[in-house]
Amino acid sequence: MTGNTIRTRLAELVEESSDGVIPAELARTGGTSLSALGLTSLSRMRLVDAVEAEYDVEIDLDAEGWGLLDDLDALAAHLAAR
Amino acid sequence: MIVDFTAPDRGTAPLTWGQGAIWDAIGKTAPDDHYFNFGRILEVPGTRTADQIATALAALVARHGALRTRLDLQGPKPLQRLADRGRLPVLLTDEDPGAVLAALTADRYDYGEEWPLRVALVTRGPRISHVVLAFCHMATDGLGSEVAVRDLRMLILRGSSLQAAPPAPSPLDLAHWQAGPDGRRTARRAAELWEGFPRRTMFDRPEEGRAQPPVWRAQLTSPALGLAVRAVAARHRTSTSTVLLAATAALVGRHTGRATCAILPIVNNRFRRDTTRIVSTLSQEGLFTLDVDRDFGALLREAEPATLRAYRSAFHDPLDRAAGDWVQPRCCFNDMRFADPGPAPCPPGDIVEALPRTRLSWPLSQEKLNCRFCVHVSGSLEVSVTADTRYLPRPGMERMLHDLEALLVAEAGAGPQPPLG
Repeated sequence: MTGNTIRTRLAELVEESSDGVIPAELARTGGTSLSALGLTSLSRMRLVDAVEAEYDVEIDLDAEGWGLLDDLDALAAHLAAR
Repeated sequence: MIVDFTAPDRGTAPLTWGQGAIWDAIGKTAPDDHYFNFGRILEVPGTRTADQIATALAALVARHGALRTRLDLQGPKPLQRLADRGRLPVLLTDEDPGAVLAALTADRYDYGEEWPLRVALVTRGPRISHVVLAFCHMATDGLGSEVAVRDLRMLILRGSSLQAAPPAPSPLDLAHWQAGPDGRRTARRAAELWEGFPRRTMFDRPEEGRAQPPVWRAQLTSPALGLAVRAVAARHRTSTSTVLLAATAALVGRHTGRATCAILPIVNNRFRRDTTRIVSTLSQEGLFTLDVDRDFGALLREAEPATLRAYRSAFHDPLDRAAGDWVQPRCCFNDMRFADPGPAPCPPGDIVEALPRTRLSWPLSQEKLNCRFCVHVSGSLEVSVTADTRYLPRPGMERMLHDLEALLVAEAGAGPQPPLG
């Protein structure tokens, strides 16, 4: 799966996790952290669960994991590099 | 009056994790466990008769299994017992809805025999003006009650059914999922977070000044704090809940002299699609740990991933917790607001202007509680500390609330920076 395909899917998951507050199109635009787009802690937890379930990965919830969960590009690259 | 209800499903299962957690808390608080009762008042839309409301109530209870689930207390471990039919007593009254709710929540539930929902209809002449619902915490938590109240409102508006709505998820199904491989994997990951933290109690030193009864609640109503919390959240791009949790950790650290704080936030655990709209008690304590020997900005940055770890740790099996003798800091945090007002910048002058409207009250006292220090956040914005005065006497509770206000007002740029020590 390419990074772009993953990125597109992640943007959809961001929209679902945020109950539509952050549209996939906006999340896909890039260049802005998900926090700055308004992703709350609860939505971020939903996103973690969705990503882990869909990609069969475990994301550590340390500072590095937090960074991944705030940057769609970094998260897509991390998943593509597995 | 009596509302007869029937439903297609029945059965018996072990308690869900959330039910198990609240059952443990109830056991440690009894006979003062009416503490956990709570309720909602629904203003009835339009003009409806008691019979019409009764029809809607029967449909509500049929839809949500939690509202027709009692406990089987015969064996060594309690079981949840879902009934497919029953008769729900409903009180008709013309008294003030708030007073009716206070009366309905005043007594502990009979968990084995009584339905976990007490209902009163407030009459205004021939019509019903309000439905008062008192929930047993074994049946649902606050967010679940929101789902129930929304559904009841729709049932009243539409007549008797929510046919277009998908079937409501059931606590029985959840119990089966939790016992299965996916549930056990989730529980294992949560357990790793708990097991990685050393056992400690935050308020472990008895202090002079025990009150009678020993457990008291101090509540601060502070519009200034409400503005300040939103301003700090906006500045640091985080939620108001995270700001309040981190500030609580900072103040607990100051009071107890500990560099690392452990607090158990009550987490709603509605992260999965199948549990978002369940009426049940899903909320459980998570483990939030934070190094607090640093300035508030740094502390808040570290609070973000710490919050996520707390969320993950919260969806755990209480039986694992008991068997593993996990950390019990006796220090918890419960943000009970249904809607976080969200971050918002605020001119410091507005915060300063609001400060004289701060009020402190003592709305509760009782003999027993399963915790020594509990922060509750509600409304916009009330923050309370419920504490065992043998470990935090009343002057300390009062000081902690005023310090919380002072800390966040200062962080919002509207007051002098208090030392965090």
